[in-house]
Amino acid sequence: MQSRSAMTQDATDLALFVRTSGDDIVDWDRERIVVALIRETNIDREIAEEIGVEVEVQIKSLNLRTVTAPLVRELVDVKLLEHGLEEARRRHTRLGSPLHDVKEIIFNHNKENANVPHGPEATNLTLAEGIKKEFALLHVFTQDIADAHMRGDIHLHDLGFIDRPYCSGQSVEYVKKFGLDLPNSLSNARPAKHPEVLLAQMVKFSAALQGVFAGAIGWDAVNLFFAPFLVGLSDKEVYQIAQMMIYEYSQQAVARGGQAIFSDINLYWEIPKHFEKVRALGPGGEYTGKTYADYLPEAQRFVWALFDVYREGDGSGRPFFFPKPLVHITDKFFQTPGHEKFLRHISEVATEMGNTYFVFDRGETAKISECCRLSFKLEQSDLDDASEPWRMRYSALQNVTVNLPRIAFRADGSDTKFFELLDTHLKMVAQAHIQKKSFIEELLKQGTKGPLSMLAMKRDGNAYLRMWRVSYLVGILGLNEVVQSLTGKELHETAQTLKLGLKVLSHMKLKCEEMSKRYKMHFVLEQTPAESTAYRFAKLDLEHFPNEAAKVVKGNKENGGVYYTNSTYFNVGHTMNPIDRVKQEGLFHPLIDAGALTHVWLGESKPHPDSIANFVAKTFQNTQNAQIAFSPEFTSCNACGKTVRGLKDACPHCQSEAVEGITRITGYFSKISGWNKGKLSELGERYKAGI
Amino acid sequence: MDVKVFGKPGCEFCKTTMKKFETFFKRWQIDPEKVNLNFFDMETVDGLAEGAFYSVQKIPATVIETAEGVLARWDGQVPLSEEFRNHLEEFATVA
Ligand SMILES: [Zn+2]
Repeated sequence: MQSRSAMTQDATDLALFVRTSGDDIVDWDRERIVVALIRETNIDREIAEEIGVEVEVQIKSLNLRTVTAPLVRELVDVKLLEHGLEEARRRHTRLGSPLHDVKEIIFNHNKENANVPHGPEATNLTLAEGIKKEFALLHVFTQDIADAHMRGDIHLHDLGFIDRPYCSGQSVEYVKKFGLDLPNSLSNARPAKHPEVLLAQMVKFSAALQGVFAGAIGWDAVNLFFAPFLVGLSDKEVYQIAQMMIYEYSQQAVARGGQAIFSDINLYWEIPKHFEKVRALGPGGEYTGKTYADYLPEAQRFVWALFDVYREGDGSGRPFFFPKPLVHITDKFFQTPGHEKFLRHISEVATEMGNTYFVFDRGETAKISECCRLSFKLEQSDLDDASEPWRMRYSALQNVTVNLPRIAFRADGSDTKFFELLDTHLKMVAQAHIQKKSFIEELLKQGTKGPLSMLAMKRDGNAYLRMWRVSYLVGILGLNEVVQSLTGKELHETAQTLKLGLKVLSHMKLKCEEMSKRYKMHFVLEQTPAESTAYRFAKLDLEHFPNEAAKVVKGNKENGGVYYTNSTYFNVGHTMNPIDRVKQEGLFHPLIDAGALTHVWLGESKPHPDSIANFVAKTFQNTQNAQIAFSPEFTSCNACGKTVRGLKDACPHCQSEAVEGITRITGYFSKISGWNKGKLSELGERYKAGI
Repeated sequence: MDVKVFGKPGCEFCKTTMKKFETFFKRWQIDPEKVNLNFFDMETVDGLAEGAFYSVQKIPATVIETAEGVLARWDGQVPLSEEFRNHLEEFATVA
């Protein structure tokens, strides 16, 4: 580097300083450009020096007193392009946001994910996500995949979380057995001896997991695995544990970026068959000498108490947004004494508060549910895992959704062409997954000293993230619009359109199986939650395929509040008896391996709990539907703190207009004020009905 | 009328079901203009889609239906000839 005194001899250099990215102001030095170019792009020193000189000439001609490092970089980038060095230009890219955008982010609410509130932590998250997203598109994925995402042919979900897997489902047994012993943590906690401590460890573990996964954190058979800790406790004490659990999870809005942990708890009235004979782990991580079948009474008391808490709602009588309770309905459920009363109990919560998810496990299938509801069938390897339930850890590495309606537009009415194009798109999805997989593997290589140390820790002999068992999600979106574009009729309208929809799904399922064999990776179809993708695809298609898209997009084209129908759902506005909807949408569910759900939008209506219970039993017996949830709507008043049924403009108690609407956006409850335009249109069009 | 048999190539009971219908169709001389007999291979796209439409979970599955709806169905078993005979009788040209 030149010294100041040397520079003073050159008048033009006199006052030229560079504000660097390292919080520093340094003197102009051309060599810095050259060094950076060689280090970052591997181009020849000769060309680097040539560019350095060119940039210096240009900067001097600008007669500036100070230049910023980003400006220098931009000038260098232009020179790289002039020299035809496009790949070098790509590698030399600076990631970041324009001033205007940063200001927007700091001042205005991010509506891409309704689970994120607005605050300094949240804007940190948004800004960091922005940079990681650019990084992912430039570095993790090849240009063709990144372009396909940018064009909206496919959607790579959670790009801002590129350095984490998508979601995770596990067992409380892991915490019971190993305590809270995380790599790099300041203190380790031994296995819990008391239920409160177990709960605290479970919640902290969830928060730690949230730090290494992009999406949901699910826990299997929570009431059962807590049971050995609840022996001898009074009803009141069990209730208090239940209350603590729900409040702890629902108040984790102090966590990452102010975003609550997207948490799921799986619950059973019976002892699931695969856990009956499993040795129970009790306080201190020791076996109790009993099997889980012996803990039915405690498990039932606990799950009952959890629903007592859900029934009450929070301090203002609002439903708890998290954790989502997923009750598994199985053949054994209906053989377990007390199931009628319990079904009525959870049905009451469903109609009053909406929390209950009814998950149907028919036949021999058992599932652990989370965002991606990975279902695993009881094969020998899983039965082996079930005997040591802490081994049961399932994860989806990434979700990539295909813009199905656009494929239909490109097919121009031809089924044959549609299926050909669909295959090309699915191949692209597979490539995207392969690229994310190798990136994550690269990070995992650093082991417990690396950024994903928690996923690399080997408490039971295997890394926490069992890469050989992860799934790769292939998201479905807008099947209804595909069928509508190809035939002029929507899914629900004729048996032919319904069959065409099933054919598209069958094609996708078989293709996933074929790709799974070829790449030795587990590709599965998923009903994409798509709270922003349904809006994004529709918006992009109206730009790129205006004539075709205009015929099928849903929502309001005038104000831009457009959307595609989620996954395999029927038109949300179609007037349809809920049981028919559950039955017919359920025809698709056996084809969707990573789980599916039908929503029953209740709106203001409040069916009798017995009607809900009856509806649930019928759904189990007479349909193939995989999961249902009932979604009421609420208005919560910020002035008087009361909560009422339905969406209102003003509080019926105190007439205040400071009210907040609450209902399910996709799979979870949230405040409507945080929704994007597409989802708001959908809300207006949802057909709501009692049952 | 349609007789639809759902199965997979590797499933012996599925093959038996299909052969059985073929045998009885021949024996009773069922008019092929009036009754379609079709096998749906659940390992193909069309078979899987048709199977999903009828919520087929156990194979072999057999569905006998007319435009009015399903007259009879069997899931996970080979139907007995006396169970389906009455549905086909009116299309038989020999007793
Ligand atoms: Zn009020």
